[in-house]
Order: sequence, then C-alpha cells, then structure tokens
Amino acid sequence: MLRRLRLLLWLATRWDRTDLLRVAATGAVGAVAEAVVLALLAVLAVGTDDGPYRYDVLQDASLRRGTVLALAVLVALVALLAAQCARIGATARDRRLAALRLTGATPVDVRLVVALETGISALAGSATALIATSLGRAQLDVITTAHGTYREITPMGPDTVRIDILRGQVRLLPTDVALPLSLHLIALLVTPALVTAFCVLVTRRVSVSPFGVVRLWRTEPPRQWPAACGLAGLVILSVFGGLQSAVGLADDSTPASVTIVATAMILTLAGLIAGSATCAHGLGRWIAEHTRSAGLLIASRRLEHTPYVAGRSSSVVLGVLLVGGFVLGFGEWLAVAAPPEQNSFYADTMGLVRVVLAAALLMSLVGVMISAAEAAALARPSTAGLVAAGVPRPTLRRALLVQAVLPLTLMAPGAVASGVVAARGVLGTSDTRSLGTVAHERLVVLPVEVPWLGAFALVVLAVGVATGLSMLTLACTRTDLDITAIRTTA
Amino acid sequence: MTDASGSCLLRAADLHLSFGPARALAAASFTLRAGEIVAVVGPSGSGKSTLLHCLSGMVVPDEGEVWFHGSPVHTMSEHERSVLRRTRFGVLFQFGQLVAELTAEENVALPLLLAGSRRRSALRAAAEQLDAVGIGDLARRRPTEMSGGEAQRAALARALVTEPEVLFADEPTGALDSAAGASVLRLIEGAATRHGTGVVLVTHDQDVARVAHRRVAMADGRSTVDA
Ligand SMILES: Nc1ncnc2c1ncn2[C@@H]1O[C@H](COP(=O)(O)OP(=O)(O)O)[C@@H](O)[C@H]1O
Ligand SMILES: [Mg+2]
Repeated sequence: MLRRLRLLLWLATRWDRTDLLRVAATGAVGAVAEAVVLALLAVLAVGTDDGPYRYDVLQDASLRRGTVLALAVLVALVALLAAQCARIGATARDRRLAALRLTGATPVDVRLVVALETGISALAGSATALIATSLGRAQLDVITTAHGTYREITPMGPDTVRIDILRGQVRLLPTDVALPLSLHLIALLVTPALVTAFCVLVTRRVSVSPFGVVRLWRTEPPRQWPAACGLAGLVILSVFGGLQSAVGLADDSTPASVTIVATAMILTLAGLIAGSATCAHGLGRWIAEHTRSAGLLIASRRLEHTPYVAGRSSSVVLGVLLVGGFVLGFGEWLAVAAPPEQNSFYADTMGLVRVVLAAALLMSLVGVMISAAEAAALARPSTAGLVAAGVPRPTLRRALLVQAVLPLTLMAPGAVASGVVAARGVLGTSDTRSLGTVAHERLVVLPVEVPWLGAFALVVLAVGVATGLSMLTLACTRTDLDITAIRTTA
Repeated sequence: MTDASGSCLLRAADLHLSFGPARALAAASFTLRAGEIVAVVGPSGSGKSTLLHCLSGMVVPDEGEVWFHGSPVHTMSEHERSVLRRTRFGVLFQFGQLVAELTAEENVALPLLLAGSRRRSALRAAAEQLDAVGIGDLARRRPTEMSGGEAQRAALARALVTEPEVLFADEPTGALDSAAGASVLRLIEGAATRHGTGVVLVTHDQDVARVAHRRVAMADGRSTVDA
C-alpha cells in the first residue's frame, strides 16, 4: 500500500515543461487562495482589543460578518480557479496516464496521480503564501498604519447604536491580529484540500482509458424544465418585495425571507446555466443548418453536440454576473433609500463588494479561458487533420473562439438583467421618504432608477474580457499542424 | 527558375530534414506523373510520412526542392501552401481527420465551403462524392456513428471532392480490415484511372503497394527507386 503510494507520488511528480506550467499556475493561484484564507481567518479573529481600522467593513462587528462571507466566496472562487489551472496542458499528461493504464494502472490510480499532483502544487503555493505573509507581516503593518479617522460603534439598545467619530492611528488591514499556530496549520491545509476537492470535481468527466483520454460530455439535447425552474425563480424574486408587504410581513431580512430569496437566486442561476446549454444547442443547430462558413459550421456543430461544455465553463461567470446585476440594483436602491448621513458608511461596503465582484469576475473569466484552451487541445487531432487538408488556421481559431465565447455572450445580458430584476423585486422600485419639518411633513415617493448604464457596462466588460482572454489563449495555444496528433489519434 | 522535367506533376529532389538530432530525411527524391500511383514503402521510421509531409507542403524541408507543375512548393508561404493543399491536393491519413461533430456530408463539404461555394451546392457535391465512394446512405451520420471503413471512405470522399490533381495517402488502410482496406484501395485506383489523379501512397504493407505503378523504397531517410 505504502509502496504503491510512493510509486504514485513518483509518477505524479514526473514533470516536463507543460507540466511545470500547470504546476506553477496551480501553485500560484493556490498561494492567492491561501492569502485570502489567511485574510478571512484574521478578520474572523478580530477582537475588541484589535484595531482601530480605517474601513468600517473591518471596524464594525456586524459588517465584519459580511466581510467574512465575501472573503469565503472569494476563497471558493480562487480555489475553483486553482483547480481549473490543474487542467492546463493536462491533455498531454492524461495521454501519458493512458499509457500507464495500458500497463495495468487502475482508474483510481490515475485519478490519485492527478489529485496528488494538484494537491502537492497547491500545498507548495499555500506554504509559500503562509511563509511570505508571516515574514511580511511587520512590513505590511508599518505600511498600513497611519493617522486617520475611524468610527466606533457602540450598541445602546436593541435598535440604537452610538457612533463616535474618533481620530488616531488606524490600520488598513487587520495586521495586528495574531493567529495561533493551530490556525496556521489549518490554514496551510485547507487550501490544498479545497483545491484538490474542486479538481476531482472538475475532472470527474475526464476518463483516462488505456486507449487515450476522453472527456465524457453529456451529448443529449438539453431539457426544457431546468430553464423553466429558472424562470420560476426569477418570477418569485421579481414579486417578492410586493408580496412581502402585501401579506404585511416586515421589510426586514428575517431568516425565512433570506432563505426564500437565496433559493430563488439559486433556481435562477440553474435556469441560466441550463438556458445557456439550451441556447448553445438550439443556436448551434440553427447556425449549422444555414451557414456557409466552414469555421462557423465546425463551431456551431460542436456547440450543438456538446452544449454542456459551454454551460459548464461559463456557469461561474453567469453566477458572478447574476450577483453583479443584483449589486447594481442594490446600489441604486441604496442611493434612494439610505439616509444621506450614512452615505460614506455604505460607500465603504459597496466598495468592498465591487472589489470582490471584480476579482470574482476576472477569475471566472480566466476559468473560461482555460476551458477554451482545453477544448482546443482536445480538438487538436481533427484540427491537425484539417490543417493538413489546407484549412486556414485563422478559420480554425475563429471556430474555437466562437465555441468558447458565443454561449456566454448570449447569456450574459440575461444573467445581469435577472440580477437587476431580482434586486428591484426584492428591495422595491421606489422608496417613500418624508421631507420637511415635523409640522409640514411631506411624503415623496422616490423612484429607484434602473441601472441601465451599469448593467450594459457589466455585460460589455464580461464579454469583452472573455473574448480578449480567449483570443490571447488561442493565439498562444498550439492549434498548429501537429503531425504527432495525426499519427496517434484513434 | 523553372522545372526541367515538364511532364512531371510532382517532383522532389535531394530532400533533407532533421528533427533536432534525428534525421528523418537524408537525400530523398521523388517524381509523380498524372494518373500514376507511386507507393512509398519501407520499414517504420524510415521517413515515409516525413517525405509525404514535405511533398504535400505540410512541412518545408531543410534542404532540397519540391516542384508542383513547375512551381516551387518549398519556397511558398504557409498560406500559399495551405491554399494549394485545399484546392489541388487531397490528403488521407490512417485515421482521425474527420471532425467528430460534423456529419459525413458536412465533413466532405468543408473544402468546398472554404473555396467559397454556396452551402447548398457544396452539400450536393458532397452527397454525390459520398455516393461515389459507396456510402451515400450515410451522409447524415457522424464519424462516431460509422465503422472504421466507412469513416475512411468518408475521409477519402473529402480528399477527392475538390477533384485534386494529387492525392497524398499515408497508410490509408492501416487501421482497416482487409476487405475494407481493399475497397478503399479500389476507390483510390479508380480516382487515378478515371480522373488522372496522381497518388502518393505511403505504406509498409507489400500487398497494398501492389496496386501501385511504381515503388519508391525508403531506408534511413534515403530513397531508392525500384522498378
Ligand atoms: N515531429 C517529429 N519530431 C521528431 N522526430 C520526428 C518527427 N516526425 C518524424 N520524426 C522522426 O523521423 C523519422 C522518420 O519518421 P516517419 O517519417 O514518421 O517514418 P515512417 O512514416 O516511415 O514510419 C523517425 O525516426 C521519427 O522518429
Ligand atoms: Mg508513417
């Protein structure tokens, strides 16, 4: 048993150049994940003696919970990205593993080799980040400590707080929080564990048989009902606020209402993902039956026959865009509903949310890019055959690009719009405010604007970055005539 | 610069090509006339495939010349060579050159679509070509839904649909059983006799080489012509 594990470990670390790229990328992204984990733990450990901090999202205990949640989401996303990095150039490795299968390795062995490789790379990254942050803590602390203002919020009763604005030395980051050694150890291991788990998840459809590596995509046409579920979720979200006030429930976020909204959001996301598969399938078929462009013909037939490839790689992006749309709607609502004296307080929070969102969007788009590269690598044998037959390479690159970006382009507006609709449905489309003095009180109804511009910008940004990244990847990927690819493909 | 032997469709002289330290071609020569089938034979690793890649312009030799109809293939740009391959050459490999997601008909229509044909006429020509190779009834099937022999005939149909002047076939029957292999060979012979297509037939199988008019034997990257 031990000897077998040693053998597998040895096999998992036979790296050549493309393998090194994958290992390095996994390690680097793993290091980022580890840094976020450490930040999360530090924020979690902030006590009454720590601080003060420049930003309310760290200073205010109730806001800190939101910060922890945002960081947790970020950890999951970065770990997912690290797991996707474990797919870079993996087709070549998997072909080697197929040769191993031919000599008697079991499917479990092969999966273990892959998991070990990913786990080791992520552990290396994790350890690097841990050491770097430990060594750099003092430097970071000096850099982030400055004089400024901060808020001290003291609970005075169930619904009232006292806010004092104080001056003094503030920190930007919770660098003064010291984590115990046990937490460090947990932090060291949690990232590799998470990355490995995600890796197993994203490679579950990769089958390394003795005859080579196959990706087992579901190829049956997508069904309609998941998309219908999504629509139901969206309808629930859009009428939620109205319904809530109609039945006379409090506006506040009770656990029940939060659960309903979260469930409806997840339903909507599932619908969007299913919708992108349906779109890819239907549009792919339609284009294939009408186009006279060879590149489009290839791309559209691939979309038609493997519609889930598109949905899978862009599902995280769609999730981020859905939340992004919600945040845009929330921002507009805040602009109307938030008391003006608390504007800076909310600006801080929204600022953090936007940063997390931008990071999440970028990471999920890098995921799309890696998927595009993988699709290109998997298609290489037939690509090589086509190049040999004189099909121009730009045509083939365009086909791969369309295949990578078209489903996202179709669904991105839907995702952002769903998010905006959800925010408006849940929070309301107007706010009533009393103006004037107590004697001459006047109630005005202020409409919450639709964030057209923001939504448009978000869609353009997502599609633009996805296109740019995919083009970059495809330009760097060798979709070249590779004679070996012609020779060795079944 | 002009080509000396005008009657030749394809002529190559003194080809050298190395992959790093490995010499794949060392002084290989070759000639092909219209309607002629020339078998390139030799043991595995002797440079047969590499010769075919140089002749068809997929690879540029380190040294030596390749002439097609009196134009120098070895000095053409990548773009010119791929245009040549898709308009005047046909290529056929052992397996794996069909796009898995496209139907047989669409696979065969690809070269025509690239040449700017209208969709309908490209698909019609593809269907006719599939008929000609005997699998007209499988036009709507995808490669994964065909047997190896059927897929290979579809690949041959794609190679022949542009009525090429030269067909390059690298072990075209290597993955097929003898009956399927024989039918592919008959179709290749038919193309040579009926349309005057010159055929470069790479094989290590003496039985396959028997259909050829002439043989070029490869050994360690060198060519020797036997009668
Ligand atoms: N892409 C390549 N990279 C490195 N070496 C190659 C490549 N292609 C061919 N070779 C080498 O060139 C020689 C001839 O190969 P090839 O033409 O494929 O032989 P054959 O087709 O006769 O079996 C072999 O020694 C092979 O290892
Ligand atoms: Mg060969």
